[in-house]
Amino acid sequence: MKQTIEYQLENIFGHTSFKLGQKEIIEDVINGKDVLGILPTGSGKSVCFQLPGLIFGGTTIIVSPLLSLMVDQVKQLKASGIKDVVAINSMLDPVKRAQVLENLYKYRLIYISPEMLQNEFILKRLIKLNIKLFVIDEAHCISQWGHEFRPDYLKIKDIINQLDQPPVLALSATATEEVQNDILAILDRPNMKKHIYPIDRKNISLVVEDLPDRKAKIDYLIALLKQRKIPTMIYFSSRKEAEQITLILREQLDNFSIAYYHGGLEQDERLLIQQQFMKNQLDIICCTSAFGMGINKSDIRLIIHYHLPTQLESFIQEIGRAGRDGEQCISIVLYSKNDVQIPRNLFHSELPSTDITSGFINSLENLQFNTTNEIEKYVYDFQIFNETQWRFIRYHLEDFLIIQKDKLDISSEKLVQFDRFIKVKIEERLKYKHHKLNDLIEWVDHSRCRREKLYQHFQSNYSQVEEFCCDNCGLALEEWHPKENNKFDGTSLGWKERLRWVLLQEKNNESNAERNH
Amino acid sequence: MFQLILLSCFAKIKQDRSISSVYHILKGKKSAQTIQDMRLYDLGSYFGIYKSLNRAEFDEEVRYLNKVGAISNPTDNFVYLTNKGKDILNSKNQLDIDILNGQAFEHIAPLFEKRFMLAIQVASHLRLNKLSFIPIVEDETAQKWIKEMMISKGFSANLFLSHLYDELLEIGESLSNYWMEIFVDRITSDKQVGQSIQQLSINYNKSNHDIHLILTAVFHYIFTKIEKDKYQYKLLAYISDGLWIDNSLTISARKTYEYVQQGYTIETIAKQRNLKANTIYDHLIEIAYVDKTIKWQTLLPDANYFKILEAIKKSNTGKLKDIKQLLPESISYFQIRLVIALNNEKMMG
Ligand SMILES: [Zn+2]
Repeated sequence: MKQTIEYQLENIFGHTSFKLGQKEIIEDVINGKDVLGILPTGSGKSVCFQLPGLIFGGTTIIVSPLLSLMVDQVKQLKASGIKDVVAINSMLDPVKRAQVLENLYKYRLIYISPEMLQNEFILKRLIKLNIKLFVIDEAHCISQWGHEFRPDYLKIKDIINQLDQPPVLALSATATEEVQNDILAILDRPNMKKHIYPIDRKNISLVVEDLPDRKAKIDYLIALLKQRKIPTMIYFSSRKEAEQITLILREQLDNFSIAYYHGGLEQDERLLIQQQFMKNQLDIICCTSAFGMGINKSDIRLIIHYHLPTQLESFIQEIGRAGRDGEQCISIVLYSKNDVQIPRNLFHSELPSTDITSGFINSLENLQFNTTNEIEKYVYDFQIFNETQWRFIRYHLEDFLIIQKDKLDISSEKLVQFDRFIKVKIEERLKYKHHKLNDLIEWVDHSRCRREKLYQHFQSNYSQVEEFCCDNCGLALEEWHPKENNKFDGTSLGWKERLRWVLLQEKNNESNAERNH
Repeated sequence: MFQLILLSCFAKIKQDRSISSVYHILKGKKSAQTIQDMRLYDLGSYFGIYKSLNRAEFDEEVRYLNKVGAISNPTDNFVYLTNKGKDILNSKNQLDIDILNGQAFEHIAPLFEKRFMLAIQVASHLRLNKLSFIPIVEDETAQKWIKEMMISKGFSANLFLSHLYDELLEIGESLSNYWMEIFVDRITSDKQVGQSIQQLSINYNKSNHDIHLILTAVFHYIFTKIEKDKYQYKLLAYISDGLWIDNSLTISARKTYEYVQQGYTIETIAKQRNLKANTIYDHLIEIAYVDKTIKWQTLLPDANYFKILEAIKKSNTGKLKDIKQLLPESISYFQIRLVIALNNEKMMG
């Protein structure tokens, strides 16, 4: 068997050896065990289910909350010649979806969003399949102590129980022990085999720069970036600021190629920017967290947080995109005291305000809705809640049995109870988020080794590094000499020359290439 | 360019029609009113040249024209050109916007562009034996077309690229260098990833709208060339194959056409669109008059095709009923109508 899985790894993915943890997890999965795997970002989590999924006959289901991640993985598998994979999510157009659902048995890997999994029609189709493995990616979403709690993840257990008890593989890149235990409890699989690997990454140096204001940040960026031309990501909390800083940097940094990327761009345009970055045609990308999910670029050298992240988990995930090739890379957080307000505002957009919620509960009583759809339409038409807020409210309405499978059960009594309950719940969530933010700020303000402090929440130990540890351990950026990006060729030519080059009509190279074949 | 087009439109509709009608023209709205506007006010060149335009962007541009004093205040939805507006319109070179011919090409442009961009990416990678890459165009219709092109007999990535180079070079010679710079920047091959509209806009210091319209104009110019001489621009004509479908298709038939091209069965299309199968069959007949390239074999075995063709020739009246009587029971009216449609040349593009 060992020989087989190694052979398959090379055969399917072209890798000659497993990365830390992959093999152990895959072997347990193949032996039919339930597994919880915690692996650092960038360690090839997806291979842990893609490989068994492709070896097994039958179907592997992968629940993933991240649309872009799903789509990117399917794209990458297809690009490497594996065609029988599909992503079922809200982006599929109805005709295509109908066709996919009619032919579900043809797919070996089926990625699905948690929302779609709750669609009765889809679930019925899934039950008929010969499901060999059930994967929960980003499994920390199942716990309300996880940093991206998704209430709809809680229902996964019921769904698995309706299937023919396939082995379950839950994966995450960041889960505290509390969250790990939660995952086991909520899935009701106490005997899940845990494979927990340290998430600290030795090759990422950690730097925090205290900068008083926007101007100081910009000056710092320009001085820093102009020293070396390396693949760089700069994270922003706001789309607008990402755009504006891009324009400023473009003006100030000659010879650098810089672009921005955020969720507001058209899909086609995003794809172009992503691929430019992959090809080192772009040196610097100013982005929001919408970027990077499925980015499989191994040589990102510098990750800058222009704004403060909201908690340590997402910060660890974001810096984890750097240096997947193992080479030295650096994370720099630009911190100005006023920034703390930004994540705080964000929390309020993620959770409904108690006033609006009360108003909404009133209208539930007064407007005489008959179906869940009517309520949902009302919520969206009048923009009472945004999507995240509504997901939260809806989950609790279901939990209270106010919204049921095919009917509503609205009584004044119940609503009064619900009103009281949800207020407490919202306060609790807010408090929790502030608590997470405080952890982060504590880390930012920390005056001793940042590495030690960063990982202490997640594991008992961490690997010490001698050089390039963190700013508090005395890191000298000027001693860092990463390999620089070449200047992208072809830009200075006129269009005729460039057309010739783009269409591979360069006479000399061509004849050489032909001789070599 | 966008502002010039807007001024030109406003000048043409005078104050007979509201500014919304111009918006619908640019979007290529297929309503009786918009089509009538297009004919009555000679706005055919702009019809459907900017399908992705949204109303907020359009309004913003109109407000800007008012702010710089080129048009009257648009608050009541009607505008006229001020003297300044007229001066701008007259002073600018109109040749650029004269290249646009939306009425003739709006239905070709979107899919052609997708095929064109994807084909170059695919061919350049194949040429270098690189088989693993992520397609920059996600449209399935275009992807399917490329797949068929690659497996078709005699396809060579090498020839594809060299012919394309010759044809584009020749066509580009008669366009401004400036436009061609933008156009070439947009192309993705193994050598470069194309620039987004946004990036081009920053690099060339033009609005997103202008970049979109310049690219559209280059494509329209290519179509004009193909239309004039398919044989001189063999490769570009090949990329446009099957797209020269007549504009007379109803919207509903056009939708069916898209699904058929993606390989869906009649039953699936009918079910999904909530239409009777017979309606879909009617659409297919409508399509058959204008596009002969779709694979009809699934609807009609070759043997039957020739039987029907013979019967049509034999029958004196040409009436369906008479033709049907000359044929075996198993052949349906639909199949007969289909053969008639396929053999009707008058509407071929
Ligand atoms: Zn340290």
